[in-house]
Order: sequence, then structure tokens, then C-alpha cells
Amino acid sequence: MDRLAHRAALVAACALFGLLGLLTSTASATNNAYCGILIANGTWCGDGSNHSWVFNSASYTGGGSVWVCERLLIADTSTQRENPVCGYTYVSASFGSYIYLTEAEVSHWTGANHTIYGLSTY
Amino acid sequence: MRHTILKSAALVAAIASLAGSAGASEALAPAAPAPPAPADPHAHAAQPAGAADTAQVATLGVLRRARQTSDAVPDAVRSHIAQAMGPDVGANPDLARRALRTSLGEDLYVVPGRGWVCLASSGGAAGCTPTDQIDQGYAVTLQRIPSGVRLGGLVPDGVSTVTIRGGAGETATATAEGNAWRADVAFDPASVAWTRAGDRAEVSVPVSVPPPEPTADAG
Repeated sequence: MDRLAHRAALVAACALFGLLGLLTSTASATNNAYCGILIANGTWCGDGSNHSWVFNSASYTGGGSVWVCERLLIADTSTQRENPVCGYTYVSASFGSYIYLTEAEVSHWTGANHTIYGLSTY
Repeated sequence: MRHTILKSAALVAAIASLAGSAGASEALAPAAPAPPAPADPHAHAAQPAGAADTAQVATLGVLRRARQTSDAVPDAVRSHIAQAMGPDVGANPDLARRALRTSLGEDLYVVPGRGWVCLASSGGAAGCTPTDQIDQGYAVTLQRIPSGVRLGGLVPDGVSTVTIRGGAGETATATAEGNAWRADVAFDPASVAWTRAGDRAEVSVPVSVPPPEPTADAG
């Protein structure tokens, strides 16, 4: 009986989370610009926040072309939600809803130090 | 003097030729505007491009063909553009062309922006490149996958094959379709190269894959 009640509570909680997720997806997006500082080759620069990010982009706006990457980490861990997406100058990735909060990060892999901008959205 | 006249005649002929090809393009892409200054992604305030510009139309043949029903981007890609590539680089999903569909069912869309062109995947990843850097080979993106590395990119007209080389001498090729290409390789790529028809010089750019790290999703 306890197990049934527990299962019912779980279903109700899932339904509530689903409803909240739907409301979140229909509400206006919240953007978070982060990094925007000089970072070294191969260094990840994060937003330091824990949110339900669904988009994350990395961009380089200086001269020439710089190889940039973006990724989400599961909040307060070093586990990537997915492998990084990388490319020259600008990359962006779209993520579906997720059970864990995440942190957004950007990096670059060209030359020494470059200013890389990150923008995450939920 | 004679050289000057010959050079002038050649110049006039070249301009006439360009005008002629531009006229042909206009039949399919009417009123292509002059290329604007590339939008600043950091500002995140770009208005969607109203039409593919003349540089984009001249570089990418896929943008010279009329839009078809199959060019309509799915809702997930539209949302990605609306939240990220649209305000960042002025990408407009209503100008998109579907370049290719992979054997895995992934669609790649060429999406013009303000001085940029994006390649957006139905799988969720996208890369955008200033239009004048496509000719230089910089329109490349990649992501590590369980079987190796998935790469893709844009190439200008006249490129049919893209070569991916690994640091240990590995080589793979991909066929361009609709100015786009996609390749899954089993090695870490070190460069991506192609040669345009009629050109002798190969265009090659270095690429790198971040070291593997613990990842929650297999993809």
C-alpha cells in the first residue's frame, strides 16, 4: 500500500514537473551573457550558475578566426551533459529539458589568450 | 599602352560576366541586398536578415534555388534560431534551405544571417560563419560521438569533396551536397581541407577535439 502511495506521489510529482516545464518553455526566454574575458587555450570559462539551460553558444568577435567550443556541465560536477560542440568563431547548441540543473561553459583552442563570449538561455 | 587597353578590355569583360551571372541569380533570388557588416553575436540584438545578400548568393548555390516545402525548418530548429542564432547573427529561418539529409535522418539547413551564414542541424548543433570566411574554409563544426567524431560544414560552390585528416595520417572524405557536408570519422581530426574545381590550391584549416571527459549523454 505504501508502495502504491509512493508511486502515486511520484506520478503526481512528474506531472507537476512536466507542467512546470511546459510553462517554462512557453514563457519568455531568459538570457545570461557570461565569460567575456581573456582565457587561455584549452581553458573552460563558465557562468557559475545552476539553471535549466536549453541553449548555449560560444562566440569570438576579434580579428581572425578562433576555434571555440561550448558545453553544459551537470551543476556542481565535472560531468558534461553532452560532448562539446566546437567550430570557428561561433557555435551554438540546443538542449532538451533535463532532470538536472546545469552550468554553461565556453572555451577556445587557438593560439594563446582570446576573449570568448558565452550566452546561455533557459 | 597596349597592355593597358587589353587589361581594360579584360576588366570590362569580367564586369560584364559578373553582371550577367548576377542577373541570372536575381531570377531566383530577387533583390538580393548588398552584404551588411556582420552582426555582433555578443550584442545579441540582431534583426533577422530580410534576404540572402549578394555575397551569400554568390558563394552558396543552394541559396540561389527557390525555396521548397522541404526547406521549412522543424520547430526545434526554429526555436534554436529564435533564441540564439537569430539575435546573435541575424539568422532567419524563413530563408533557410535544407542542404542534405544524412543516412541517420539528420537534416542540415543553410540559414542566412546578417553577414553570416549558419549551418543548423536538426540534431541540435549549429555553427555560424562570417560570409567572407566560408571561402577560407572556416565553416566547420565538430562534436565527439560514441563512434568517434562527427564533423560538418559549409563549402562554396565548386567544392564536391571534403577531406578530413587525422594527426596520425588517417584520412576520410565526405561528399558535399547543397554546399554542406557531414562526416563521422573514427579518429580525432586535425584538419579539414577541400579544393574548389578549377583551383590548384587546397584550402585547409586546423581543427581540434577537446579531450574526452565524463559525459552523461552518450550522444
